[in-house]
Amino acid sequence: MIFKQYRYEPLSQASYIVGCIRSKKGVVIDPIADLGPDHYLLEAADLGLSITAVLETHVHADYVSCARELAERAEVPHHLHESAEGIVRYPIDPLKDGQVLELGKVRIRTLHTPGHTPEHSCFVVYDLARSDDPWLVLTGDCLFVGDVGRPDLLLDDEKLNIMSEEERAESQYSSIRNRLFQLPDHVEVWPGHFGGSTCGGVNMSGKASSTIYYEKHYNLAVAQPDAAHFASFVRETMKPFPDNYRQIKSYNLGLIDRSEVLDEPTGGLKPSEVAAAAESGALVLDVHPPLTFAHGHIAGSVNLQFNTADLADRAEMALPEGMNLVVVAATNAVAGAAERILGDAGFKVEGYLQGGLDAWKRAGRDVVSIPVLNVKELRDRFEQFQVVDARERFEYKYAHIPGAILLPSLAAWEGSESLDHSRPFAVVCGDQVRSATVASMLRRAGADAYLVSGGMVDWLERDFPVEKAS
Amino acid sequence: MPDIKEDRVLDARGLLCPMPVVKAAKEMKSLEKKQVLKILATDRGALADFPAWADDTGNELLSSNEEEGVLVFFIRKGEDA
Repeated sequence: MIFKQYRYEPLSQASYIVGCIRSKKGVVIDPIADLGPDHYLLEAADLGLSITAVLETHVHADYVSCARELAERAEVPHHLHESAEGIVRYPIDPLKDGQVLELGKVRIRTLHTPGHTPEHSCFVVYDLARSDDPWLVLTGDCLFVGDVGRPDLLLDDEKLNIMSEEERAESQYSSIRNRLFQLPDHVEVWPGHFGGSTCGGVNMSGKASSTIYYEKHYNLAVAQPDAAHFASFVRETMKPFPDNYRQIKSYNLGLIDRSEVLDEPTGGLKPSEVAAAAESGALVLDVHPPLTFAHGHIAGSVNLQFNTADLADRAEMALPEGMNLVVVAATNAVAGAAERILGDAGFKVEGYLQGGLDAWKRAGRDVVSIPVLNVKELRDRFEQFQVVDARERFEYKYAHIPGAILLPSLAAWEGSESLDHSRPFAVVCGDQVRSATVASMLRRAGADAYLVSGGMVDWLERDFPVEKAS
Repeated sequence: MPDIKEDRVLDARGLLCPMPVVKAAKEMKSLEKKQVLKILATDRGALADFPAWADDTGNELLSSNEEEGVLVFFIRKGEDA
């Protein structure tokens, strides 16, 4: 089994990827927009998984979900408990209580646990390669470590308020005692929040996992003798309402548009400020994955895919030392991280585009694209292109596409004047990360460059012709 | 695959090309001739890069495999490397 917890610390939120090593299938649970769909798509790719579904324990009120967008991008079902149907204003794939999703040797069973919200469900996870016993349960906002989910985040919406606050508290108590605590003691508890989250009370632990046994014995809220005591205990130990929860919940239900949810203030730049920085000589560095970048980006921007492991090293290889940059990323969180990493590497980062390309487009500004070819299309239309190889000399020497021009990113940055511009360039690398950097640099300089997806790995896999250099 | 015993392991998972090779080249400098470096990587570009780098530097690529989504390379330091 593959199991990964992603903690988004600013909101003390946890999302998950669960998958099967053998079948390579995986699901994402409770994805958060602050990390963004790309985060989960990249993580799944890193783990060697293809995403087969997006699950949500419930409709969240304290953070913007990206489940809809992720399910759309991955072209997979978006699951919520069936009682969410008619409450949410977008299509879902409903789950029944007890319904099972099989991912090869990994099984995920739905356990309906109303209380925090009427549709709330927990997901019980089994690794059938090892045992028929459940191993862990994703408890969402039902049971936290040391605390429980608050039952009072209501909206003025008839359809939602099918239970009063008291009824919710009672049903929360019963869901935990009579449903979750029927699981074996050894089962691990992995919650949707930890520590400072305002979705629970003051007793919530900063530790982001526990066991059924430990919570059965030492969770103060659940230890109350009956539902009435539980309800008053929860009320007395509650934190203030989450910031902005009405808008967030309304967006997550599909009642309002994303642009109506106010972003928290950050150090980001407005579209007009990004445009001004670019005019005065800063390079707009777009850190989206290459194919996303190719699909739409700010004219003149250069692509360098984000990761935390080696963005600094790759930036040093690709760009002139210490240059002025403005960052564009899928989310403010990624942009902020890129800003820090690049700043530490000695670049002068003037800021990042607040709200990403959505904000840019909302301001009425245009994006441009780079045409993409796969290796088969390049081979079929070979005569129309000049192949540019964006890798390093040692890679080029061993095997390159016949006639390819060696042009690593620093060389591409310094200029393409010496190249023959009579035919368009088709830019390759090992896959498409460095080729997207070089293709974007060529286009910035006014050349007609295409991005080749799949790169030399695909080219060699198909046994297409190569040549060596001495 | 014949049993190969590595002398050192380089974890290059999460790195994008050509960083796995750049880190491997650095690591290799501190190995004795004939010693074996095992490299773990996740970027598919490494599949083309390690054979190229081994060929270029006179190191010997003993094997490349994929295990549970991770690419595993064994490279023996060459006599002249």
